[in-house]
Amino acid sequence: MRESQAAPPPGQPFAEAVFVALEGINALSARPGDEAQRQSIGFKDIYRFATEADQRMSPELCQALQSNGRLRADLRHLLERTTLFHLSARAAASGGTITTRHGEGFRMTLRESRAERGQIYVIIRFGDTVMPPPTMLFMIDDDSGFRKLPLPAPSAGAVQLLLEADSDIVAALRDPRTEVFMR
Amino acid sequence: MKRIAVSIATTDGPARIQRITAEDPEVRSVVCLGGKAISLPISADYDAFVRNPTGIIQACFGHGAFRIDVSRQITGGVSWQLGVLVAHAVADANRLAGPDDDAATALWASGEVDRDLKVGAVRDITLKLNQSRQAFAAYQAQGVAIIIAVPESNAAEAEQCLKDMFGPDAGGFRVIGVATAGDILKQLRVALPKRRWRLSPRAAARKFRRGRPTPAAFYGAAAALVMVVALAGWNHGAEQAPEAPAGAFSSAPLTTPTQQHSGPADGKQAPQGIVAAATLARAPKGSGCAAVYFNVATAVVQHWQGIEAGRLPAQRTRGLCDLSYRITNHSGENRWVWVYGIREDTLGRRFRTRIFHQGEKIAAGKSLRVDAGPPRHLEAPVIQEFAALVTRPGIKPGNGRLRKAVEDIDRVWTRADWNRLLENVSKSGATVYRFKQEFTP
Repeated sequence: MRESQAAPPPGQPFAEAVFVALEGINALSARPGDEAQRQSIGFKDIYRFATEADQRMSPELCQALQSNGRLRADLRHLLERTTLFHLSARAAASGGTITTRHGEGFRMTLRESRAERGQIYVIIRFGDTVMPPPTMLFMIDDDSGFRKLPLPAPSAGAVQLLLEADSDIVAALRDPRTEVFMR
Repeated sequence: MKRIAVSIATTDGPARIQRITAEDPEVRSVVCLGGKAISLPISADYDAFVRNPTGIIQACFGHGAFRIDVSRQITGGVSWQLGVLVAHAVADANRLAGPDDDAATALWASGEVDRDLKVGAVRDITLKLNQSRQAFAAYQAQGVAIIIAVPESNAAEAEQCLKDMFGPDAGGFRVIGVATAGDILKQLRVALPKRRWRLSPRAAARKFRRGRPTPAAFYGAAAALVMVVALAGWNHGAEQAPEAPAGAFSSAPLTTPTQQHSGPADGKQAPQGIVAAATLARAPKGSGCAAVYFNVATAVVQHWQGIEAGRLPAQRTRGLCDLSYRITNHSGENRWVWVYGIREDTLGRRFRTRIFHQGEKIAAGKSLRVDAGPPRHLEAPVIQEFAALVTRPGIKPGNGRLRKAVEDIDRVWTRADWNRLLENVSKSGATVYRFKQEFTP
C-alpha cells in the first residue's frame, strides 16, 4: 500500500489529511502518461511548497504544474484550505493598472517610490491583529502559474515589500486577474 | 552653500546617508541600500523612530514616511539614530551632501536618541572609528573638515582612538561629545527642527492644557494658533479689543496704543512701539508640506506686517505648513511679555489653555517669535485666541500686582476665567493684545 493511502496519524492537520486522501484518489484515477511525473512530483512536493517558507519552486515542480492540470487544481485546493488570507481574481475592468486591492481582513496597496520611480512599495495592511501574521504570499495567474514570495515580519499591522516596478511580481499583483493567497 | 556629508558609524565602516526622501504617507519608512530595492533590516526600527506616536522625526518635521538611502548595510542596533536625526535636520536645511556633491564638512555620528532628543551612550566606538580610517583619510585628502559626534560619555574614548590612529597632532578632526541632538545641530549651524519644541520637557509643559470641565480627548496637540498680530487696534483693556471684519489686514507696520499713534502707521514711517508680523507658509497646489520641508517644493509664503484688529481670517489647516508670528519691540526700552493661548471649538467647548512665554524680556529693537502652527489634523473647526501681555513703560516684571495677575493663568479653566485674567492683567501694569482666529479642517 502506498504511503499516501494510509490513514492519517492522530493530530495530522485536516488539510494534510484531505490531501492524503486526494493523493490516493489521484493515484487511482491517473492516466498512464502522467505516472512518471506523478511519481517524481507528488503530494509531498506541493504540500512542502505550500507550507514551508524556504521551499522554492523547483524547475520540476514548475514543469509539473504547467503540464498537469490536476496537480494545479490540487495545489490551488491546498492553498484554499491552508491559507489565512485570500484575494480572489477579478475580471479586468479596464486597461489601467490597479493600486489597491481588498481581500477579507486585509488591503493590499501599491505605491510608487518617490525616491526611485522604478520601485514600488507593496503594502499589505491587516485589519485583524489577532491572527498570526502571514509569512508567505502565493500568486496564481493564468499566464505565469504559481509564484511564491516570502513576507517580512509585519510592523504596526502592515507588511511592506519594496520591489522593482517592472518585476513580474508587481505586474501580477497589479493584475486583478491574479489570485493571491497568504499564509 | 556649504554641504554636509553625514555618515552613520557601523562596525563594518561608515554608512553614508546618500539622500532622504519623503514618501507617500501610507508607506512605512525604510532604509535602503544605495538606491536599490533592498530594504535593510533596521527599516522597522527606523519606521518606529519616524512615525508618531513613538517616533521623533514626524514630530520634528511633520511627515511620517521617509526613505533613506545609505551606502552600506546597517544591520541592527540603535546607534544610527543620532546620525539619522541630524541628517534629517541637515536635509531639512537643504544642506545634505549627496554622493556626487562636494561636502565642506563630514559628520560621523554614533548615538542613541530618546524622545527628548537626549543622546545616550553607545558601544564599539573604537572599532567603528578604526573601520572608518580609510574614509577619514579620503576626507582629509580633500580638505574636508571632519566632525565626530558621539555621546558625551564616549567622547574621551573617541579622542584617544583618533590620537592612536592619526597621532597626537592629527588635524582636521573635531570630536564633539553631545548631550542632546541640538548640540551637534548648533555646531553645524543647522536650525533645530521646526517642531522640536514639542518634544522637550519644557515644551511639553506648554502644550494646551485641557479645560477642567471638558476632559474629552483632544490629542494631536500641537498648539495651534493664530497667526497674528499686530497691533494698532489692540486695546489696553482686555475686554475692549475691537474685532475687525475678516480680511482686515494692513500692509503697514502698526504700533501699540501706548505710543502716540492712534491708527495704522504710514508704511514709510519707522515703526514704533510694539510691532507684530505674521508669516504663513502653504504647500503649493498638488504638493504637501513634506515636500516643502525637504525643498522638493517651494512654499507659498504670505507675510503680514500687521493686522488692524483682533480677528484674523479663518484658515484651512490642510496644506498649512508653517505659521508663526514675531513681536518686535520698537519702543526704545526693554519690555517683558507673557504670551498665552486658548483654544476651543466653535460652540465654546473643549476649552484649552497654553503658555507660550512667561515674562520674557524683549530688549529694545529685539523680537520674540512664536511658533503658531495649528493642529495638523482637525476633525472640526476650532477657534484659537492669543493674548500677548506686554509690560507698560516703567513696569518691571516683578511688579507684585502684575505677577499675581499672570500667575492666575494656572486657574483658567473657562472663557470667563480667561476674560477675568486679562482684565486683571490690564489693570496691573501690562497692555493686553488679543487676537483670534478660526481654523477649519
